[in-house]
Amino acid sequence: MTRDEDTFERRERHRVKTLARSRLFGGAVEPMQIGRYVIRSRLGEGAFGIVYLAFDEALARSVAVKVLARAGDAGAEDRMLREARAMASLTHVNVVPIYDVGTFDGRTYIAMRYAEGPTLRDWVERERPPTSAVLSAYVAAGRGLAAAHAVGLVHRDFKPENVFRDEDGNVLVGDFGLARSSDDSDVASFDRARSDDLTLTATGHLLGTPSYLAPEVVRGKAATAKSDQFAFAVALSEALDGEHPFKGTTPAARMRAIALGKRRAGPARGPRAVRRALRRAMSVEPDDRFADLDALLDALRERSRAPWVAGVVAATSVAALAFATTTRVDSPAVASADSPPVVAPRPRARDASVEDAGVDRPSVRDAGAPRRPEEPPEARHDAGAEALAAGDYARAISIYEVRRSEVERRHGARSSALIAPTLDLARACFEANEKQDALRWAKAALDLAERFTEASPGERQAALVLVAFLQLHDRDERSRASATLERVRAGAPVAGRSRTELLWAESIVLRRERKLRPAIERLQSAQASVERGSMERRLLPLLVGEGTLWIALRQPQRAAAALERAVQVGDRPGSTNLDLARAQFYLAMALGDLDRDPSRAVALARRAKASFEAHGVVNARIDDWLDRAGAR
Amino acid sequence: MEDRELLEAWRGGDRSAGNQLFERHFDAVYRFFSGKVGGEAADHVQRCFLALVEGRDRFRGDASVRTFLFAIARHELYQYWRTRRRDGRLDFGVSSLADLNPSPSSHVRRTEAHARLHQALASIPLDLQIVLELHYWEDQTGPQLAEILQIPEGTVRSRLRRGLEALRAHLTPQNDDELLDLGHLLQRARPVSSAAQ
Repeated sequence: MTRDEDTFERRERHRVKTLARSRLFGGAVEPMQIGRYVIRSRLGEGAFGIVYLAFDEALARSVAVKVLARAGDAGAEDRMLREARAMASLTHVNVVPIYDVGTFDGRTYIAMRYAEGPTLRDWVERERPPTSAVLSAYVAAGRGLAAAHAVGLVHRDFKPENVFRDEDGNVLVGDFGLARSSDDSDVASFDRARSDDLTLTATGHLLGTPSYLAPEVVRGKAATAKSDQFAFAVALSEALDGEHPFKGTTPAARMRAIALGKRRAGPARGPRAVRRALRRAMSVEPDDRFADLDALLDALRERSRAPWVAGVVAATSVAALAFATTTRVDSPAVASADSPPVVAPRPRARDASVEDAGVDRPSVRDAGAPRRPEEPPEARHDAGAEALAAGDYARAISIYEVRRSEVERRHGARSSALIAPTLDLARACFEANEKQDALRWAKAALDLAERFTEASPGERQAALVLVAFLQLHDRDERSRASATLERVRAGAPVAGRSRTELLWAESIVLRRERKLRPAIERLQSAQASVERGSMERRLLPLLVGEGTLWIALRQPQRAAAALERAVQVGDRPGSTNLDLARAQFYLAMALGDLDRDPSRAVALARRAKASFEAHGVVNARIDDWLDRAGAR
Repeated sequence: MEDRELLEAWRGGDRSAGNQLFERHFDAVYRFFSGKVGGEAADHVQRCFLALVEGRDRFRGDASVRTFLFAIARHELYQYWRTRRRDGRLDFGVSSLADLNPSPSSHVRRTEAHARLHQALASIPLDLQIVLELHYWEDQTGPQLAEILQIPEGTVRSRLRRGLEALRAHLTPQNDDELLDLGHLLQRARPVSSAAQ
């Protein structure tokens, strides 16, 4: 939606409101003047008070006048005034300038520059700027925040709604310290004017969305520069991903996720180094975060100067990606001159548990050192599959990464032998819910098959199928999937695992076209194509897909049948496999629809919830379901 | 002050109490009419609040002010469409906004998915559209909806279910979760209220 439409909508609502109000109450309800400022209109209202658009006749300029809610006692009133004065003394190019502070009708008011630009939230949501632009806007906002910290001010309510970006790209942080009213327990109170961000709790009470509150603040401690740092990192992470880093659609669920430090699983956008920095800034313990905001900004700025391979870049051509890798500075492991031009996600930090699996992990540093005796590849493959089945994704991916780099070491970076292990790694990433990494690895394999090796047509087709399948799971690349599928169809027939993936991809396409029954038929063919006895676990997601389609068709009986099989195929003690968790939850839903075996349904949903939480996914749907079942 | 106290004060002549009540509920009432009526929305909003302050005897003791306001607003909306149809024979269980009004004005649409959802909402029978909006956007519970719509609670539940089914039939989901989880999608597509600075 365009800005014009939105502006129109806001103006129209304001017009209707003013008209209806004046007819109901006459015109004298709003103050006409505060200090020397003539009130033009009301811009918003919240727990903090009311903001007016006003005109400063002496200086002939528009200003925003914020009249603060009455504080509980004189001491609090004094403190607010003191803080407002401190803010007024702060001059920084990235901070909304305060013009004047005073009292009116016994209430404190603050006159400040009227920041017209869209808020960072609106800007990101509407214009979908590239990662680099998002990063630099946030770095600018961070500078404003750091300047405040330098003079001892804490923002307390940093969020994308409080940062403005004008048409020239100037970024201004506003609303310093104002969200806090008379006592600190009120920090969770909300800005009623942005009710799109609010959800009703089961009991029917509106709560604020404390989406940017640091865990220690949730627990009742006072806000500090470190909690501002947390809020900043959450906001930036959300802007990069288009999704809040802590899951939960109800304020309570999100607050719980924040307090527990449970971040959403799955891929995040932006350079890995940026993500790492953000993860650190979002640490539950303030001491684990950066010493100050400047340190975080340094980490971000350093990375944003360097070319990177980011999620956004992944949407561009493979050739562009290849260029990006060779110049990437944060990736010593692949920066040598003869490194492969395929682009791959950076290997993750080594998982200690990999050592337990008896798999050594080569790195640049120890490449020349004596190697441990190598295990047969099959054994490692099984170890990876075993870890995947158990839901031990970090370990599984490490195993597949090691396996791939061993092949690379033995056969070289441009060997077609590298295609298969790269595809396996991509599949493991997909199963681990790291879908962007999965797509990047699959593209790396395709690049290898098409441009740099004498790959067989079968290898090329396998890579192409997996790329198409993963494109269907990527918001930005979804529209390209059908073209990729066309290329698959133009090539040799596919067999084996690729055939399963092709049928699965086709069922997703059909499902999107709302051809649900043909979609089910494809999935059933896909199930039949999984070799019997070899990898029954591969049936699991296909059965889950079938089950959800039956649920959508309001056929809980058939849904339950497919999902029972899924649970049977995937279940093993202690597994937190995400596909299994999905199967368990959907089965619980189907059983609920059938009014069948309620205690088992609740037990299944609880187990699914535990699995999701083990991977940092707070699934509010399960919470809602358990709430409705009266079992939470 | 509680809504009920404000309403009592307003009925007693306290305009500032009335204004506070108006501030609390304007957005919800505006949202209710938004896209559903042609002409001047302020007329409808004004009539709702007037009916609220004047309609002492119609106010059931335990209903919340907001629920009562929605009941008034629904009545006002149906009245509006009935008077626009000369024959007056209008079945809101069948007619959708898209039937009544070829180009319903738009709610605020934040994303493409939300736009599709709002489009679909305008395409299902008005009775079903209203029950979904009041439930998912205005957080009205089953008993409250029964009060607003003047139907038994059991009928509310079946109407909600039929509403979701009708909506599903009008949607082309872009991702798999949408199919399963229309309720959440609806909640997220709640129209934006006025943004504060």
